[in-house]
Amino acid sequence: MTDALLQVSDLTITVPAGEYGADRRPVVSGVNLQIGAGEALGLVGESGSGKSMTARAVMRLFAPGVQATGTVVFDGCEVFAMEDEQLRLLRAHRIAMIFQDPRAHINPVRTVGAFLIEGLCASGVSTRDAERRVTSLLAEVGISDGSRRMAQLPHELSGGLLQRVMIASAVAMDPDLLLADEPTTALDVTTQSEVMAILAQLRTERGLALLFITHDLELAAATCDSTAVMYAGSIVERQSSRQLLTHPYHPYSSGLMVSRPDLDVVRQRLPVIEGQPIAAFEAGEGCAFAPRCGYSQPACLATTPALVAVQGGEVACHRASELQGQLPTAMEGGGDV
Amino acid sequence: MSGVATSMDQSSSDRPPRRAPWWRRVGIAPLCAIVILAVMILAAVFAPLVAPYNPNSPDLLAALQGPSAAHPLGTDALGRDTLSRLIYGGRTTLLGPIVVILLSTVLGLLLGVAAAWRGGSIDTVISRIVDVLFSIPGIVFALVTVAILGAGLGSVVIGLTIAYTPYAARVIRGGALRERRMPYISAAWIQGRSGSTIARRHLVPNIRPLILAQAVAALGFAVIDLASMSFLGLGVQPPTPDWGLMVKSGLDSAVRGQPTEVIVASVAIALFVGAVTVLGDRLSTGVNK
Repeated sequence: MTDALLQVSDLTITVPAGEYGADRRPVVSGVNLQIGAGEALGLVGESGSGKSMTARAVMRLFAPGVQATGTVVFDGCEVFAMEDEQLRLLRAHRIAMIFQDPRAHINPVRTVGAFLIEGLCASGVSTRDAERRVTSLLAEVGISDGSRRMAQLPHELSGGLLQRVMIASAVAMDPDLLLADEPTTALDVTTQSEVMAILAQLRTERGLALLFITHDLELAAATCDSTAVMYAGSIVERQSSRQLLTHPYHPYSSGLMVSRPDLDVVRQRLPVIEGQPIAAFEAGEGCAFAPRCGYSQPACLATTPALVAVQGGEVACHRASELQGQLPTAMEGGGDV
Repeated sequence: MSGVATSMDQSSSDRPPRRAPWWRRVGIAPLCAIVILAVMILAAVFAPLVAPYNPNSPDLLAALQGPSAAHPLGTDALGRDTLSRLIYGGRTTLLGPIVVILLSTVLGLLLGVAAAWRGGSIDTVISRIVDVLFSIPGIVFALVTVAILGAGLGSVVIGLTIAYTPYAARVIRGGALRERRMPYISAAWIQGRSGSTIARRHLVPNIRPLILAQAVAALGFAVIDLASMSFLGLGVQPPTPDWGLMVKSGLDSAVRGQPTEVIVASVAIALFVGAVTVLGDRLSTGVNK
């Protein structure tokens, strides 16, 4: 897949740790992923598994002190090697991002309209034209009284409305790739489904590629063409969404699905994945998930499994071939992991 | 998009309950401060219309008088009307500090935002210079510029501007550093805004309340410093009416048995500084809320 729109290869991100930041701790290690034009990839994992770091790395946005190695190639251009101005244009025109908390990510003292037209005006569109385009965009994301909303300040809008504003601003520049960092986590379920519907619609209308980051494996699988599961800074499994829901290869993916409540099954307690999620730097020798895995064997603790191709996807598990077809999913009523 | 557009969020279209009128929310003390400042500034601006006499026309026969119907606040040693001199004196006494604060705030804003925004060696250089300037009292700067440029309002204003810039720069740098880490700033980076655009259009508007509060708080000190310089004979030069000068000449009159002038001028300075302090206090509570 050399013609992918976005190709992330062997991405490792380290943060400084210890006294004077002398040590470096990995938070993302050896991530590979690719997204074709118009394709949607879901990226699922627990808090601290490195999902957001990965998405920000695509934009080359790092907090001070954070270092990244590996390559991110967007449409044939190496993002980490770009000149500043080239990078700015990439961020302004080709890749857009929406966030979990739109309220924190929109300047609180400027009006919604000023926020929305800023990018268009910066690229030479007149204020009047920009306002007209943005108003129709707002209508597209379900805000019919756009001109009134544009005169308001962010705190006057609800979270759901603000997320729509965020989406409108993201697509205003007609990007090729949209990075959605848990866009629905802060929203209630009804608003969540509306926002997902908007994203799906924009994607089909505009041929937008999407990297969708979420905690919710089933939401990702329902929205995206393929889904990657991250654990402790690495991708442990990637395959097409449909197949993942029915035939997970990795015990962790299976565990995530089993621990979800089911509409049809009444349970006193939900099954859980025992233990705590760990960060990449806490993983020792062997499979990072092995200490929590119900299927682990001594061999799992000895060496780190590589991501290998299996039928329809990739998985990083020593026992993938043995366990194939045996891992439970929520749809089968669950079991112990 | 019709399927999506049908369900609209209603929560934010409800208007918030009517707020109390602004003069209620401001509070009684800040309101008094605003009235005092407004009266003083308006009187100074419209001095020719308000003042009963020419502030500089002496009447030696009426020198050193106490309050009377003809001269509500008495006269000074040369028989000039104290009320008229007070009204005209507001011009230099208030204009000087306002210019000092405007200039030092603009300079402090440039330095503070540059230090916080660029960080690294630029921050180190600016912060160290600011630290050094901090160690020297403001009045010393004014004395040095007077020594170089000669006595007068202009040289004192230049000296005090240099003295006040570090205060503004430090406060603004702190606010900008805090604001720089906000998510909306990284969001602006991600949207491909240039660094200068983000600093100018996103960062500065968000620290505007802080800048205003700091400027008003510093204004009180600037009034005292400028009046002190005039009192010492290094700032505004006689016969121009000025509150600091009036305190000085009033002291002489007081020795000769007529304390009205020194009392009036001192009270005017104290009232102005007090009003500015109360207002600055109110503004900074608003900032910290």
